[in-house]
Amino acid sequence: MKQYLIQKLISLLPVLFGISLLAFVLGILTPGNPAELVLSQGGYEPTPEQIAEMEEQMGLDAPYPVQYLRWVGRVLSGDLGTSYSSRNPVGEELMRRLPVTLKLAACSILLTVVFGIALGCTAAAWQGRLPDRVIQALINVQLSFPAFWLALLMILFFAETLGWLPTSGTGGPRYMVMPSLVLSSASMATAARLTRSALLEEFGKQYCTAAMARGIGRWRLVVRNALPNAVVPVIAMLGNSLGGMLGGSIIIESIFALPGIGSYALAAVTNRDYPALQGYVLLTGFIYVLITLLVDTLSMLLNPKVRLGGKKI
Amino acid sequence: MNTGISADSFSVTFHLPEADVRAVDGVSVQFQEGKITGLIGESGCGKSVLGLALLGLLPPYASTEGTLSLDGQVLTSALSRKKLGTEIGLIPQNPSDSLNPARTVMAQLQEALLPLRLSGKHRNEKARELLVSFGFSDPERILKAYPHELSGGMQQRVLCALGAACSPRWILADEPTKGLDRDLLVQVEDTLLSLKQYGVKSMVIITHDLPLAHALCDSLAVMYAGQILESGSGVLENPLHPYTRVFLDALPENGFQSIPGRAPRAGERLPGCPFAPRCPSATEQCRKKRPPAVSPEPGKIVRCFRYA
Repeated sequence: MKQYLIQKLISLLPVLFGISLLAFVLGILTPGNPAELVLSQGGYEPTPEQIAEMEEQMGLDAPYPVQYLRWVGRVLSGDLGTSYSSRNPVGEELMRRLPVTLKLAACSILLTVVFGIALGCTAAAWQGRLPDRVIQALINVQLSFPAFWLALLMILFFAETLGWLPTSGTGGPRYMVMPSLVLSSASMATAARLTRSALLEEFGKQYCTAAMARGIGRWRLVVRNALPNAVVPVIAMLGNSLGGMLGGSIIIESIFALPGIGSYALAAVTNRDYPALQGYVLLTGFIYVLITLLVDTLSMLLNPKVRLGGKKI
Repeated sequence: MNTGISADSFSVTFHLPEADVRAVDGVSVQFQEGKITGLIGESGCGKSVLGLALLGLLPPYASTEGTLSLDGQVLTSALSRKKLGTEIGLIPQNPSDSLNPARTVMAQLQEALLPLRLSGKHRNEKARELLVSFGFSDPERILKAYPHELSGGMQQRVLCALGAACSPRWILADEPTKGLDRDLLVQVEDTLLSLKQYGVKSMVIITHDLPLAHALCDSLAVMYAGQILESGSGVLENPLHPYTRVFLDALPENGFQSIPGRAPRAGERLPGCPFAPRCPSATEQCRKKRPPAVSPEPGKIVRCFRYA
């Protein structure tokens, strides 16, 4: 178990290296000279001398590997560079906005887990009957609605027509309802579908027949017996969709005007603010890796065979 | 006779996408109360399906004809399910696949004890008692264990404890010795016999292990291609049906003689006796008509024209 975790951590190092390299290359490949971009932010045209001076100041005259190592060194000490547009440190700006995105992702994953698994269990318990058919239809609808369109429809219905929920911005829990519902819609459907099929596979196994022969009810069979065995692939899928939610929040945050890192990245793209974008790529990549590690560990812990080792009594 | 389990022209058909398969075909048989009845036959002859039907656990794509009844009361699958645990218990096949890998023995035993509606404390006590009566000297450790931590023999005994948890009147043991080694076979025999002391009066043992059937069973029913060809006591000592004879001759200790021809495929239905194509003494009549059930000796029923 401990050995597995250490192995896993070591195997993550190349991934982290790849992410950092990608973020760095992003800065090189982008059109335009960074020194010129910094100087021309105010709409003012710098002279070639000024640009050369700035290049030297920013270390842009050094070969790329040296630049990369310097950059990694700065990143490791917590310095993600300065935003071109706001002149503030990127690290600080990201950290200020991260809680909004994390809150949105947490609400969405919670909705996905609770409703996805509950719908999957209900469908499996009544396989082929009315509840199953209704849920299957709902899943298909959820999967075929693009998030941005669903968001617009919900705003039209719940905010404009019924006036129940605010259209955008931040504030109390009411502000999170629509964004997290929209962000979790597709993954909820995927989770429900996966839970259903994993449960049906477990039902066919001998231990479920044996459990039914003890005279237990339908729910007990599904929730207590089959679900603990069926949940492993669902957890792996949830980890992936949590990563996807962090990325997908770009659209949702800009529709609902939430000041998270997604809308920050979008603003960085429009302003050609490369340090900000680099910081965003690095941060989301890092969080994604962290989630993967967490999910792998969690699904291992759920299997008593792995948790306790193969020892016999 | 009203006590016991009886099947009356009972059939089970699976409606599969390719074809309809009749796994149990017009079975009429009696399992007497207070006796151990063995249901023997080759793999795929329909004996486990008959067992599932008795438990009311046939899959939704199966349909039945005829009736199964317990003490004269007709068993629908819903009624069978109500009797599970308290009146009919199951000891399933393959011990390693029949315990839930993600739950402790305690969790599974407590679940099996639910129909008794005991308080939490009494349920724990009862779980401990059960393990002790099935030969565990250290119940505390076993209760906390997960199935993979137990040996095959221990898993088998835990399953017996689970099946007998609510002291059902009937136990259905499905291939209790399948895939076990010689040492364990003896253990299983002892464990099954100890069920009797636990208040289980009647048992149906589904098996193709003839030594086990011989040692434990008061009477036997021989199944072939979904039909019961011969039933009663002393089937192994004095086989009447030609199939039972060649089946016994095919055992390693009786010379390992293979039966010529092949068993009917799943879904294949013959108009006459299902064994006629392979039977050494088959006549034209055997291929055209199904033989009636006759009783040439007291306590025995055989379906063969030789005795009609």
